[in-house]
Amino acid sequence: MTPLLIVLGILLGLALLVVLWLVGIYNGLVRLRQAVKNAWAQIDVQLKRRHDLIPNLVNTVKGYAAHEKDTFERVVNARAKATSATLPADKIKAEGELTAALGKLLMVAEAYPELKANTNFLQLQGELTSTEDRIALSRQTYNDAVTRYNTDIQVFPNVVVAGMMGFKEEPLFETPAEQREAPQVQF
Amino acid sequence: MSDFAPFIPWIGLVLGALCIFGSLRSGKRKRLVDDTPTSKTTGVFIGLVELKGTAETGQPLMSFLAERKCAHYSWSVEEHWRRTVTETYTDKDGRTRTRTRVETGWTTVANGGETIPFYLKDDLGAILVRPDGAEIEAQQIFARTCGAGDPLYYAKGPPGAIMNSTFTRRFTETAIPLHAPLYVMGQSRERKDVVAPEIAHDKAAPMFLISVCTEEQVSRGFAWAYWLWGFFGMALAIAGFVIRDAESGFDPGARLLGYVLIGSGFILAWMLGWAWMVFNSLVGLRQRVRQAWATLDVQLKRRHDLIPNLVETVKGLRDHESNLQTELAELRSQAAATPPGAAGPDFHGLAKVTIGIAERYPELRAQESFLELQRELVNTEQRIALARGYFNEIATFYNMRLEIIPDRFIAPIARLQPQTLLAATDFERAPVEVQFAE
Repeated sequence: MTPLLIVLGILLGLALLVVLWLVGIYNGLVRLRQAVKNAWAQIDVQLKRRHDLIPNLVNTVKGYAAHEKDTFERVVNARAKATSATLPADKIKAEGELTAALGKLLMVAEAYPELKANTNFLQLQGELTSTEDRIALSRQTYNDAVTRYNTDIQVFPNVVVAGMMGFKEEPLFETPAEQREAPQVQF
Repeated sequence: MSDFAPFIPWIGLVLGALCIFGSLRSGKRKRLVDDTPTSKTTGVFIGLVELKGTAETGQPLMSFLAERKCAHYSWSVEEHWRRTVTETYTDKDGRTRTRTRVETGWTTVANGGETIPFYLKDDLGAILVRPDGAEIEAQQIFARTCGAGDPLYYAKGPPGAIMNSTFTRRFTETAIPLHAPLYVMGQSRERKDVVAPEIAHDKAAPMFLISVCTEEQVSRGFAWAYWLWGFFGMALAIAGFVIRDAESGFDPGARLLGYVLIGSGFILAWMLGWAWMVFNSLVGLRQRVRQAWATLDVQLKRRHDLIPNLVETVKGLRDHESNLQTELAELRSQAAATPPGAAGPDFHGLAKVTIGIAERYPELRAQESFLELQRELVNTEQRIALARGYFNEIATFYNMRLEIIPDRFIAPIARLQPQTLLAATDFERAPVEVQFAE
């Protein structure tokens, strides 16, 4: 083995190592960029969940509130009729209706104590908060994926590979200016 | 031995280069510790976070040796041995001689440990930490050396003895005791079970450290490691040449200039490596400043989307409740409307029923919803304040790096510009007047 062959062999080995190293960098950047796209899709998952869930929850709460209001109104109307009835026959009939209406209200209150409308409203508040928390976390995960990717395409020596293979910076999550202001709470 | 002589300098240089890597790695970690602001547990965002608090858990472990409550413990038992070795050798005159040598040492005969996830608690809240895969710098809570007569010897150690044992054992244990103050630097991610973040191991994260030391101690530890690895590497690089020269019979004293040149070459390589590390570190810091800004944006958007809906919900309940209360009040007054003996509708039979219903609808139910709304308003604004505070702190660390020597010489290469901090506008500085309607 002449010295020339040995030197050529070592140089070839080194060149191979360098190529493998560069390929490793490229693959790493590809993986990070994919992670960014995936994280963006995860935000959409949470937004879709909010879009599908909240209107239904609100309708449920409104529905129960309307039912509760309805039951009360029956009582009030029955009482009004009983008060204004003059003929005994009408009075008996009206009081019968009042008893029935009150009985229904009591049954609802006794049999389903957990399902009172105020509990529903409270649950709705909790679910709204939890949904927004999930969305916020998914946006933060996206920002972190973007930060890792943007950092990795700028450090040395990756910056050389990134420039040659066309890896560009990805944008972070941004809130439009008008949505950065505090909302007014007014009752 | 002389066959190896030409390779020894190369080995020395390779080891020296590895020491440079070790030194730069410690330098990078020191910068991360110094330039990452401490987050509060309620202000943790998804990314690399630094936290300070105490270790808490509802089901603590019991450590083996010290029997203290903890979230992590690691113990080992070492046994001491001594043996006398007799060997023959040929001295420089060619005669065969014997000599005896005494060798001693410690062998680990038993060890163990356990680690469980725990909560890091600070003044604002708590966050789950999963320590698997973390570097744990624990507190030493047990250290005793004893002989075979001591009850500890066999109580917490294996039966029997090793070869050449001197019947002396050393028992040591380190742990993270319950309520111990901790410093944690690691990657946070979303939890799978609840809507909250947790700190856990991540392959791509630059650091995951759980330490009972303070931030200052951790930082100083990395600084020492940086310098010690560097000079140790230089010693190795020069030693390679010294050994080669000694084996080849040259006088090391005559080649002093050569060794100084090698040392200078090593320092040059070390400085180039340092510049590379600082460049990458500053680029990373700038990205994390931008990430902090974006985290603030996320909280602002959350407020924008959440609060109006919460307010509408509370309004809806308030309106609903006030209707019901009005009707219920009328019902109750009507229940006693007709006095005894007078003509008119008799509601007395229904009085009990009505009172029963009234008990289930006490006056101020809607207050729960109002309280919940107030709580969420406070929580939302606090998250925003924490995010703003974090951004200002990390932007300040970044701006400092752009000014201090020697970092300010590397910064222009990366085209880094200073970052303006967040400030309150003038109208936001004025005191707030709270007014209730008449």
